[in-house]
Amino acid sequence: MKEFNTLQEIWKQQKQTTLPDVSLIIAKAKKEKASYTNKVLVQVATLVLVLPFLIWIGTAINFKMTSTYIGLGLMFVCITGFSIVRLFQMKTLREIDFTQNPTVSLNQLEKYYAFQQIVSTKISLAYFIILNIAFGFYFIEVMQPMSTMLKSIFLILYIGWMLVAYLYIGKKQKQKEYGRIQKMMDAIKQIEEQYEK
Amino acid sequence: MSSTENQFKDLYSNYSQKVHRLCLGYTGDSMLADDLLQEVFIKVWENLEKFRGESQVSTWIYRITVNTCLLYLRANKKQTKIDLEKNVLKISEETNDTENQIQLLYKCISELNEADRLIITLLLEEVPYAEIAEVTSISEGNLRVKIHRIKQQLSTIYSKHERI
Repeated sequence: MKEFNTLQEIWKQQKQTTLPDVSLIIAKAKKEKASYTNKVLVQVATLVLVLPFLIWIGTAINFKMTSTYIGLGLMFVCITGFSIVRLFQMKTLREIDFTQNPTVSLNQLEKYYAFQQIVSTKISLAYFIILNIAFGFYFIEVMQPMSTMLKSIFLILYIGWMLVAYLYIGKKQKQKEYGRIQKMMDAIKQIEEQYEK
Repeated sequence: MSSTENQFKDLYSNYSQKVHRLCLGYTGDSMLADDLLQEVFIKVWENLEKFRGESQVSTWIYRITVNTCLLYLRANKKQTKIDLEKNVLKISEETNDTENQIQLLYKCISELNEADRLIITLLLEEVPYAEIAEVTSISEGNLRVKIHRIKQQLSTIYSKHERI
């Protein structure tokens, strides 16, 4: 059997490898940070653009029914609330420290995962329901001048789109997000198991 | 140039080779090891300001490396099926004997389980037991037992391959 010391001697004989230049790593790190910042900015910009647009609709058009204003108000609350939750989620994920020992990272990931589940189930459902109620209120007045035929087509398209968005696109997105976190948690658990063996 | 950049450059020049060898020991693939090295140092860059010096800087960097290696391979399992025969083990008559022995050693390390690969590579890098224990969060007593077993396992695998 080969002595471990002999193996260590072999190991020490390795030559220096040519590695990427440090400036390349710094540039890449800066780019990654910028890409994250851009994602947050896009989310904030969407929020900032949608909300003034809702305010503009509410003030520029002279609606006759209170229900329309209730609808616009609910949309405002809904979009603000959900965007804040998403931004918070993004910030929390970003703050998980993978430089800690695996148990600490796992703990943070599990907390994030639990919160993500609340967002994906309860909060998303509440968002979906409230947003649709909001549109319901809004449509009462907006759809009044339409013919019954047009109303029917519009409602079918609207309901169809909402169902596709909630049941298909939303679920697919959730699965993707869950999958990513679950993989990380499984990996950390396996790391711990292997260390314990 | 900022002091963070200077500090980072120092860390990179002191630890990049060690980190690369650790990644290579774990993946058995030099391309993957390059990717992992970059990922490790991007994390070092991102967290450098948070590093409070509670542990040695080497321990901190090794821990990032270990965590990155273990997470990276699992998250990319489909794309990163390692083909050791093709990627690392280029033992041929053209390469010299030392090089062959090094390649063979990497191959043998790759036959250990994932956590053991990292522990033995740290040991080969002559990282002290206490530091390996801190990096892996294993008690020192437990680690000694483990290391004894891994050393034996590696020696046996190496001897077996050497005879072939």
